[in-house]
Amino acid sequence: MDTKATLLIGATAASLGLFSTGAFAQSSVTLYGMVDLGVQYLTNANSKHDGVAGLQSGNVYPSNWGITGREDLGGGYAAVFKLENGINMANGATQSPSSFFNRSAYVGVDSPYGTATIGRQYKIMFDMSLYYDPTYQAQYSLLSAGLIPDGTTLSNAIKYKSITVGGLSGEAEYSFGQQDPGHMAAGSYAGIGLDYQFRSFSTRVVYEQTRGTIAAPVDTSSELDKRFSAAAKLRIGTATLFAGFLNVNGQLQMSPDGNMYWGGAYYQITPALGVSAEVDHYQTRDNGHPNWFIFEGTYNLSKRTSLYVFAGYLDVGGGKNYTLNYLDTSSPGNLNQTGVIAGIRHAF
Amino acid sequence: MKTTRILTAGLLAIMLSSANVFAQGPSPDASAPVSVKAANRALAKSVRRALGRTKGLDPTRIYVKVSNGVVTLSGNLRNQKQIDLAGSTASGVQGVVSVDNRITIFDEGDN
Repeated sequence: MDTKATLLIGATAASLGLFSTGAFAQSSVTLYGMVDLGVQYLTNANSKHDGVAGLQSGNVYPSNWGITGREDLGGGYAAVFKLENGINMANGATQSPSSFFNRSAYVGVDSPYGTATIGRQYKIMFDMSLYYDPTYQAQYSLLSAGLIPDGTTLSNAIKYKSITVGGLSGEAEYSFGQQDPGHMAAGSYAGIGLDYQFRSFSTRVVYEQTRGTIAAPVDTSSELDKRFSAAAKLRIGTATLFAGFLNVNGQLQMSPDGNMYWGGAYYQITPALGVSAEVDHYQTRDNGHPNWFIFEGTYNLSKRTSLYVFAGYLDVGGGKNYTLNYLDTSSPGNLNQTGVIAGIRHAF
Repeated sequence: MKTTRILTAGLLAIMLSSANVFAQGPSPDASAPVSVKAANRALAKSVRRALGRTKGLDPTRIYVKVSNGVVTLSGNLRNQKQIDLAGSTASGVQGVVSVDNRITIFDEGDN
């Protein structure tokens, strides 16, 4: 995200004498992005037990590009914004048909007391789970298991992110949802999270609740999806261990009612080569007990470019609609799946 | 983990015993590997502690290895600024000769 292509617009303008005072000096706009593309082979991709092979975009992290900016307002305050578009590198299409800057579109103020932003932004569960997942929420990850159903981003959202004090930091977010007159609660979201870091150990808790939407004639706006999660990680030598827990309840069930457990490890074999493994288990009340077994390896060619491989196995455990790759939203055959991916990722 | 510890202990024991053997021989410097290893480990610990105390860094994502005062940093951080901060923090630790900064960028698209 840090990039060579930083345009010091304000500074340039100031140096051209457009401003009479130096108060607006530190302003910047940065162009950044991440392009990630690989080849995937996935078994049981339809109900006839057929496999599928092809290009797959955003395997380690969704391919994206964006513009972010910051204007110093003085006294430790700054105006901030971000516009980020998700792209499918395999065909050049935008990731979302309905939202161009689908990954982020927000503006706000950064202060000595924290950052407040409004617009389209990540859910708390995404912000506070990314680095508690051994594969950093890749296409085979906790996202496959349904930790963050219905996308990682919210529209119409207000977010506050605290500063870190003594290792402790927090976030809170509210989304107005559908903003439908007469149904103000429809699709609304509220979430809060706390993170604590002590030396090589860190832990976090998140609570989120999402209300159902109205899409006539279906009205689920009286139903809630409530999820509580706790997770921790510990670095030992050149390895990091991960463990976590999620409880889902409420009528809405964006993912099935039940408890999810995960554990895994990342091991930095050499400075350029790292491997990770994770197991996700979902003990649902009435949709089976699926397991996801995921292995990943990354070889860094540079600070910004790496090659990677993934291997995953999904055991549906008697459940329906589970998938190995989180981009496949429901399984056509409710079958066990095996997948492998090899690709390249470059950040600019 | 256990196996690693046993292996390390075994290696140390072998080195210690060989050092003892060599101590009686013509080379009085042969006991060096043990103390060098201990020094490497102590320095790595100091670097990790310094990184853990640095505001804005996530020490669960930075890996430290030390060989003769040369520190190799790996893992990943959000941006170049954080990578530079980790590098300069490590350089500032007493006893560090140089820093090979191999930390890569992994950004969640925030900040």
